[in-house]
Amino acid sequence: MRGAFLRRPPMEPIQKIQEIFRDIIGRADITLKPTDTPADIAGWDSVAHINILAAIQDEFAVELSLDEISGFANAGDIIAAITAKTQK
Amino acid sequence: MNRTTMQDIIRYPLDTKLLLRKKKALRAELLARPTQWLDKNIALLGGSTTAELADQLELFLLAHGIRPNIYQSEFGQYWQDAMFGNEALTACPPDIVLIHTTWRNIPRFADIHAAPADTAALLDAEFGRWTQMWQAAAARWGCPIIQNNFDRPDYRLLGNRDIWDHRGRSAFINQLNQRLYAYARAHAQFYINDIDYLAQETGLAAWNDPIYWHMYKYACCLDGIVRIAFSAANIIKALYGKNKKALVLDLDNTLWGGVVGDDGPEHLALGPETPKGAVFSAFQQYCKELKDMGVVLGINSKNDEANARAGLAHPDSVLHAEDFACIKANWEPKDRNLRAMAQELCLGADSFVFVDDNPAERALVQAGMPDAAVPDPGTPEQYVRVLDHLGYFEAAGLSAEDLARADQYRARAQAAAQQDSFVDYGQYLDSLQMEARFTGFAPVYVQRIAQLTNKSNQFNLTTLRCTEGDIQRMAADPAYVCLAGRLADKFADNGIVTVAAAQQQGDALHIRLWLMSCRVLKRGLEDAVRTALLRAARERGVRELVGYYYPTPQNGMVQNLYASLGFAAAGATDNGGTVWRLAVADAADSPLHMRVTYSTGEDNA
Repeated sequence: MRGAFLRRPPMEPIQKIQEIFRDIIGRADITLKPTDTPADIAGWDSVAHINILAAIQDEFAVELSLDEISGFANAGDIIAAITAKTQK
Repeated sequence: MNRTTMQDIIRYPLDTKLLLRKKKALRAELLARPTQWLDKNIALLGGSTTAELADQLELFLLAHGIRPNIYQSEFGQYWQDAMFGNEALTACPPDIVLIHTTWRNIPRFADIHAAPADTAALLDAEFGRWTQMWQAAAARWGCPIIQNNFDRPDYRLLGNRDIWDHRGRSAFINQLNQRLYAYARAHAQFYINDIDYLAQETGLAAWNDPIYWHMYKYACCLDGIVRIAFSAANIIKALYGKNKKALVLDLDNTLWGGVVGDDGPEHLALGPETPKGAVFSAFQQYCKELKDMGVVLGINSKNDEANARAGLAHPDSVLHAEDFACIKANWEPKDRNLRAMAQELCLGADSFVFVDDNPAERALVQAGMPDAAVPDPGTPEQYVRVLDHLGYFEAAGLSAEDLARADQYRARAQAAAQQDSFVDYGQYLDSLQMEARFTGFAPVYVQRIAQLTNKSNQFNLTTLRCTEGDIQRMAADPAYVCLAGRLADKFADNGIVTVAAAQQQGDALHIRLWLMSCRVLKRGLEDAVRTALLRAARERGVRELVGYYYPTPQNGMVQNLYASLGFAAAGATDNGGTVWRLAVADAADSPLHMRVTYSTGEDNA
């Protein structure tokens, strides 16, 4: 078991973000695609969205500005912003 | 539900990240618990977005055994809803009104050209807007109102002048808060949720995160919302009698530094001479103050009793042996000691908080008594803060009864110790020199009576839960015979310990409410209540008493009460209850081992 765990590659940002979506929306079956918008994922409502963004900022230790948050149109935008900030 | 989940929720510091991220899973786990839920309607009237607050409030209330049905006002409609009500609130009247407002809901502040008189007029007008709303809500729903006080912005137009110049926002908010507090002092059923403290604790900059207000119209950051929910839930659970009642303490390295049996009392770290000694003195002082508020103290320690008592006799010990209702200093497992203590003090397992520095002992007690709260108190210098922040003893409705409680429990433990030396139980009861005083539901007792209806579970025939408004309505209704009984004995005045209300319909008195505090079980007080009801029946020319018993998981002890009091079984009710009848003419008076007096209660303030 332990060996199998150690061989697992580190989680990509999209996987970590997917975990956050699953926890907050409360559904383990969510598979997040960059093109997903709130209309594509049941439960991705405004309350969940606020918590998702807060959890992502905690998880990756980054801060998002009001402009950045306002500009997010889909999951890919969020992932791109996080990737850019964590690779600096 | 496992204990881990429960301790994830009620802990210090609050794990706000977990509570926000896992709230759906936590909610499902809490709801799956086999609990006798207390269902309550809560009107959450907000001056900002309340969605997250409602979710978090639900989690904390579920953890306290309260299953809320939360109404949320439309965005910002707190004033209109409280003032005028609406169809949804009429269809489902609130048991609690929670008004979630912050400084952002103060529409106008003094401008820089204002004269002191202008500011004073503005303050009067603003405070008037709030009182008008509270009074309308109180009149419409007659239920407790919980009102946030005002937090502070994290900017100060006038800099340091902002807090003292009448034109400063900080000064204005301060004045408004003082008016809120005066209102709270003058009005029963009005409670302040001190979010100003929560904001300071969070840090004003984080609390006032502008993104949360401008993007989402959340009045504060998410962390702050969780804290507001925790704090409001503490008030609500306290109002429904779900506070903890007893604080049980370990001794070595909990109440003093060192091991009294090994080091000897003279070498304990206790008192002002050393920093470590001062830390333990401060914790003892805090416990002593809890005791003065009515929290029952106990000791549960692995020690020879002589050593434990020698430690408590230390010249710098703030707490003394007589401060504890029960001292278990022995070599028994601590969970067994705590269960024995629960029996002796007649308290439920869920009434206990156990504090021990040793994690192994805590784990043992938690496993053996899952309903007790067993927090990790941190290091000795943190004990006070941790215990305080957990809110176990939230003093929402601090009454005179609460202030006397610790002594009563101690007195009862003494009385229990005396029982052995009497030939018969009647002789023992006589020796207590008891005096029962019955009054109506007099105004001074309304708060206590409502409190009892919400927290008495065992000796409670109908489990009718009442607000202060319900009690006042019964008191004012001529069809009702209302009895509040006080019991004093040679050890202590137990205060109001039994409550009954019977409704006259035709020539029968129907006993709608009858409960007794577990503190005075087996004193024969139930016979005195029966006598008082018969007396009222004869005065009214009523021919029959009709009693009802509605079973719950906790009130099995009274399922045969009516039979034992000479009532005849008379069938069942639709909801699984039983009906009992007693013909007034045939009823013989039971022997009473107490002096009984009756008064209207108006003279007892």
